Amino acid sequence: MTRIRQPRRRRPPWLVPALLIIPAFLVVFALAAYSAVWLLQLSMVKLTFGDPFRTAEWVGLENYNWLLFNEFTTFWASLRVTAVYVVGTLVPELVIGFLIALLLNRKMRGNSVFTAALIIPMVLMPSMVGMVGRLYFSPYGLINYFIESLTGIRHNWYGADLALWAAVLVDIWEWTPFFILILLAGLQTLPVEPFEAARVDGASRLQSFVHLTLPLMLPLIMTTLILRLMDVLRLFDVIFVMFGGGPGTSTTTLPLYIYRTTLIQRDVGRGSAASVMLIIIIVSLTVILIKLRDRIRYEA
Amino acid sequence: MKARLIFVLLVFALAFSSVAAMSHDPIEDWAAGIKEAYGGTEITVAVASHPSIEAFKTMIPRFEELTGITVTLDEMEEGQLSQRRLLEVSAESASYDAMMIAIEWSPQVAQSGYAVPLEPWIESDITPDWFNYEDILQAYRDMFLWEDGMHYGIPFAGETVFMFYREDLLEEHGIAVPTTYAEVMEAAKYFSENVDGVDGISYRARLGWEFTYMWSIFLAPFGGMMVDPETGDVALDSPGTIASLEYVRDLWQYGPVGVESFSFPEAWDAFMLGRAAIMIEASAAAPEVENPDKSLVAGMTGYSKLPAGPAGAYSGVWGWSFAMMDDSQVKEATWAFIAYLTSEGLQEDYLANGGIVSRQSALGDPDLQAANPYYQATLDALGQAADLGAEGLAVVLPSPKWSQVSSIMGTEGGRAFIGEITVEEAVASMQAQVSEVLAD
Repeated sequence: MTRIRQPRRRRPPWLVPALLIIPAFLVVFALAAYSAVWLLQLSMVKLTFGDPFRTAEWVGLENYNWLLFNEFTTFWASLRVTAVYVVGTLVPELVIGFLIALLLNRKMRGNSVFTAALIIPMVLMPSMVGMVGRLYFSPYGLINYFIESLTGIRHNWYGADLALWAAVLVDIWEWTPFFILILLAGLQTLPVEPFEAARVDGASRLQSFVHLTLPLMLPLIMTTLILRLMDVLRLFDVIFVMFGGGPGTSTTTLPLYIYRTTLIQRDVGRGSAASVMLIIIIVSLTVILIKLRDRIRYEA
Repeated sequence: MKARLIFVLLVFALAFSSVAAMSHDPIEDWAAGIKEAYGGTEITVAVASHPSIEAFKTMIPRFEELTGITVTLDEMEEGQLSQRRLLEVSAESASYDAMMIAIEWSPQVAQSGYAVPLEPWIESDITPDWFNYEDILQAYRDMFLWEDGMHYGIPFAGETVFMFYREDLLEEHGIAVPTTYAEVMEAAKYFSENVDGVDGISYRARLGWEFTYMWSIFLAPFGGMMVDPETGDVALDSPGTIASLEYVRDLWQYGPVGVESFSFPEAWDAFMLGRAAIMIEASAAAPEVENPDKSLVAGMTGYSKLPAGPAGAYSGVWGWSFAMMDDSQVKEATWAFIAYLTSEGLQEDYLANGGIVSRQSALGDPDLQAANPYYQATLDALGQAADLGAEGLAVVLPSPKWSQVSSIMGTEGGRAFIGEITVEEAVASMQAQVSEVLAD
């Protein structure tokens, strides 16, 4: 009697990847979810940092109400500063970064040395970058020395009008290489055929750039922007060391506002409420940019 | 022959007596007792980076050698130390045996029970005779006095504020040393407008605690105050407070470019590089000003107590101390460490290694006064700080909520300083916010 061998049931193809991902997913999700719920809870209590948690008093949405509508709140001012800082850093970093990446994409002597040197500002400790920035932009610092030598005018980078722009310039110096490195890597992996076809068809360099390079690079540009946006919105150390949020509120970005409210004014509730709002802003902008990137990719 | 024999005997006797005297060094005698009782103990101390800590670092190896107690210093930046303290107080547990405590942290560590009152330890047998607690200036000792009448820190680096001025410049331009704030304004204006490369005045004005530190000095002379000592009500919107903030704001125009962002090192640098004729700053700046390796105006600087405002002449005190944690399991060894380093007996070593002076015996010593031209101004400014205390006022509110109050004053005051809001708006905001904080 021959036994008929039952065919082995095939495992669904998603099973192994799912099993491998689940532990990491659970750990990350549990940590993120726990932190988010804890932060949300803190944003609805009145609690002084340094006092035991048992002294916390439930106040509902009062902290949000204070931040958004109280006559003495500087939350809106910090939001405005953050917006200026984000646009002021990301746009030039992207433009300058892309131009240098295009330049480095050509075969030139010393490219590798230059690319390696670009990493230096990014690997420096942010507090050190802030300290160097503070010294360079001081009224008698190197930047003013050059500007005064050329124009005869000494600028007050420590003043309310220019302090934020000094911090923006330091950020551009520090983080433009990030755009250069990623966009250069993208340019080096672009397919050659479309460019050759365009050349055969008589397209100029500018036409090739506008109709081929740019559309092909857009998804990567968007991804790089998303990564930097999340980073810039959380930026703290450089501005803190350079100006501590002042003069006035001229450099008080949202992270500095949160720091001052939570750790210096020791108001855990309002600080947490501001943190929740920062998270909402970061997530919203990121989702919008991801959707935009996906649409661009689809259209491309 | 006989005379020679007597001489030799005398030399021997002298040598013997000096050897005998050496073996009875009171510090070594005390340390021997400590070693016997607590040798082998390990203590951990949290400290901030500070010139006095650098001095202590040179003294600690001898303490370890003499007592057999091992000391681990956990050194960090001042802000980090403050946050570590807050976290530990919040968690109701201490991971250190002792901690360097600033005047503004003292109410919280006392009220929470994080630190222990030190009177029982000062009076204990462990305290050496050469410690001399009473020799520490009373103004400094009382910075760490809490409502229960006990002290929670042994001060080692006291600080007050006085006026620094360029003797050579004032003499050259025929300007007398200002004794009122109106004269300070006039002199600052004169130098700013008439002398190339020299601004009128330098001081710290960076947003936050540094603005509060500087402004708090100007409050009482103009009749301002944070809290009314008679009623206990917040008085930040009083006419005197407004007048003091307006004065500080108006003085700004005669400061160096960028003074609105100056932290204390930049304020000091401006003066030390000869770019300011007058500076109103912490006494801790004086050793730097007199150091020819760092300062271009060493030997050209005069020091005086603070000028008078319409309501009088006042200064204030700040400073650092060592506090002992209630959770420490090795309090005896920890106290031996604190008493040794902050004692009168070791003061010479401490000062020679760059420690900041806080004892009457040093400030009043004629030789030290001659060597340190700012000692007299320090004593005078301490007298002005005592006058402030006599009015029931202080530059630091003796409240566990001082950091909140200071931050609100520093932020709103700083905004008014640069004209982002008016002085009236700033004081209204301060009054409302500080009242809310202190009412909780």
